[in-house]
Amino acid sequence: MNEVLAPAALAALTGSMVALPLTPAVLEILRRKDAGPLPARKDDGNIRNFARSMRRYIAPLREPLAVCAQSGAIQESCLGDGSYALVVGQGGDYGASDEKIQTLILFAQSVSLSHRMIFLKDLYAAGDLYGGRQIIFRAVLAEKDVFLGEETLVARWLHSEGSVFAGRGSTLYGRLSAETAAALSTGCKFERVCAPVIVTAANALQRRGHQADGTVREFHIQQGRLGRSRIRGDIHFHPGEMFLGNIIATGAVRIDEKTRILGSAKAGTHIQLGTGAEVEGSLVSSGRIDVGPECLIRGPVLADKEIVIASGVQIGSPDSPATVSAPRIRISSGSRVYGTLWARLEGRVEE
Amino acid sequence: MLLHLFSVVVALICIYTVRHYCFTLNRFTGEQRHPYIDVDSAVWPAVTVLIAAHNEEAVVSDILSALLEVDYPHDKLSIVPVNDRSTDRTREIIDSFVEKYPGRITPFHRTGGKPGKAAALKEAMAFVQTEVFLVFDADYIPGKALIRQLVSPFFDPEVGSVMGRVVPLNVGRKLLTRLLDLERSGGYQVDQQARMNLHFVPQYGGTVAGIRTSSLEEVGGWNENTLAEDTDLTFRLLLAGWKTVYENRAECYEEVPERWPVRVRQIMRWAKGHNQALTEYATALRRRKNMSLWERMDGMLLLCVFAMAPVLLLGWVLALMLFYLGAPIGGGTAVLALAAFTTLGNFAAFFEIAAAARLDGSEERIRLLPFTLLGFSVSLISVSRAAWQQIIAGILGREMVWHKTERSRMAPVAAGRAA
Repeated sequence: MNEVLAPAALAALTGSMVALPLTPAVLEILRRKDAGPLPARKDDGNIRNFARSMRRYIAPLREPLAVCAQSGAIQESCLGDGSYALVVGQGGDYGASDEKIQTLILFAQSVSLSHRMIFLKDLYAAGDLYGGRQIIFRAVLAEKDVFLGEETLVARWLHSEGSVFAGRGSTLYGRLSAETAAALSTGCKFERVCAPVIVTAANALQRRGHQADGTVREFHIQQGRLGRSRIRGDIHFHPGEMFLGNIIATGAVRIDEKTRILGSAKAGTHIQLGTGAEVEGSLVSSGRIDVGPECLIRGPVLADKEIVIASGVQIGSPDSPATVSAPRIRISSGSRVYGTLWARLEGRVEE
Repeated sequence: MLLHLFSVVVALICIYTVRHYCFTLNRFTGEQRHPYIDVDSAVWPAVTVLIAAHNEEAVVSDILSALLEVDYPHDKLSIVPVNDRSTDRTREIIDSFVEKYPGRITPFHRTGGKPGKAAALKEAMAFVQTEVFLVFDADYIPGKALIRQLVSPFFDPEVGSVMGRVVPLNVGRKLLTRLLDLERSGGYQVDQQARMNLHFVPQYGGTVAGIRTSSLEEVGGWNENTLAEDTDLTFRLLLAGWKTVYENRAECYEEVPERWPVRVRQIMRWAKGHNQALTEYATALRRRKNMSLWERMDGMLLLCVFAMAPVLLLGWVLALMLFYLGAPIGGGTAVLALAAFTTLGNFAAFFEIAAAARLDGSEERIRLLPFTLLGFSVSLISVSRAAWQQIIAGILGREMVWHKTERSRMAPVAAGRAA
């Protein structure tokens, strides 16, 4: 008996010890719980996608919005998913200080909000939106201009079909987009900002109607294919020099004042631009980029660590939008970027 | 002497083990580099998209439909399907698209010439009038943002080529497709991205990829005498001072082999092509002074990666021989066993795959990990066999033959399909 059972028991035990680690694998093959392809990105990454999505969501409220705009009434409406929205027909002042709004709210006309209000759900404004100080918004979609009072906080995103003016010390998490212009005051923190022109100012709220003021400097674009020069170590362009072509250095690139690079520059460590330097192409650094006052850059400015932009700088132009992207961006007031400012960790407007 | 040879083999395997650990730890704890992914506003350059198609009637309409819908200025996007001597309905399908979308697609119907993707692409370069061009295989399905994601690194004047991430589409079909899905995850999500993070040598993969035309011209164009034009180009660009960039978020679906013989032929072709690059560029890479030591070391390890399968087999043969000869190998066999466990097969080690599954947020598929041993064992044998055939072909002066990977898709799929 033992002569038969003992080897059989040993074989069964050994077999089960071998099979045990394979059990989850066999079960997954049989049940196929996670057998689909990994999700790949389907959208086009457009900054306006949240705004478009909200516009679709509130589309059923278009009629009540028009009715309330006529009558000046305040009406509660129900959306397709069963949630409620407040449609406010009257324009002018709205809300009390420190009031907390718990529902999606739609303003049919231009409105001026009290200080320190908190909007726990999204906000839609068919007209201009004037915010008091220290308001907290979850997300905002506005058909006209938006004026954010000092120390406003936007938690997720804000889109304006006109311009956005952000007061001092505002914090703009997530996406901020405007179809005309975005003006950011000193002390503003931002992540991703996109507009035909983004200006920084000591007090952006005073710039209404002047957001695109100032002379736009034009580029003299080089036609044809540019050569490239690779340097092992650092390279230094002295004041007033002009370089035609792309320059790549494994170390630092230093471009002194009034120097012109008719091409792009790439540095393994650090790029430093002196006052009034011009770059016709892009600037790319594996470390940090310092852009001096009054510099003019046509192409994207990309850094692995940080970008610091002094005042009077122009990046891109109305005909040549550009992106400034780094984990951290510090930009002084008095500069302008045509296109996108994208700070993956934190962007800040400084004096 | 055998003992010394055994020690060398164990040391080589251990180097790859350490490399895999470093890459995996980097993906979990290191700084992740995606420097070009945020380029949102720009004056986008004109781009030509080459679609390599040889008897692709099952799939070619999917990629053409997807490319016609991508988010890229239409006046700057030129789509060129490269119909390479197809004998099925590929030509007919392409021409129907040309008729339906006038001015959007410029077909290149190749009727003769040397077989192989590199040879076809070489002739198709006559259609490339732009500074940047992208290459897709016909079974790929690009998403809307993919063209911009692949083009944005070219704003960096040092970048010569760009590689996106390949995501298997037909995952659930067979055990093989599920194993290949895990293997691809490890290779891209961990291996390629870690090399990108560390400023090493990400590999241009030949598809879901972009090339700066001037960089290709500078290195002498396509090499039609290689079985792996992607590896060949990666190293020629590297030696000429151009960088290859990996874009982990530029994802594109592909079809992976569903039958073991197809998979075996595919990996044998890769192995032979890779080994060709090893013999041609290893010396030049070792001597090149215009790149960092780390880059040279990683480039060398990348070049040797398919040579490690026969080395590993040799290690086991030596271990057995030394054991029966009574040689004092001590803990050598144990070290070899442990190292082989983390280096086996196609060299996407099991912990890299586990790390990739976690980074991808997939939960259940990680349970299949023990079965990857099966895929790795097949790879080990196939790659070793490829190396052996290559040695024999070299001695006898035979020319190596390019085998197209067979497609299994039976019907068109919706572009941009997700899980």
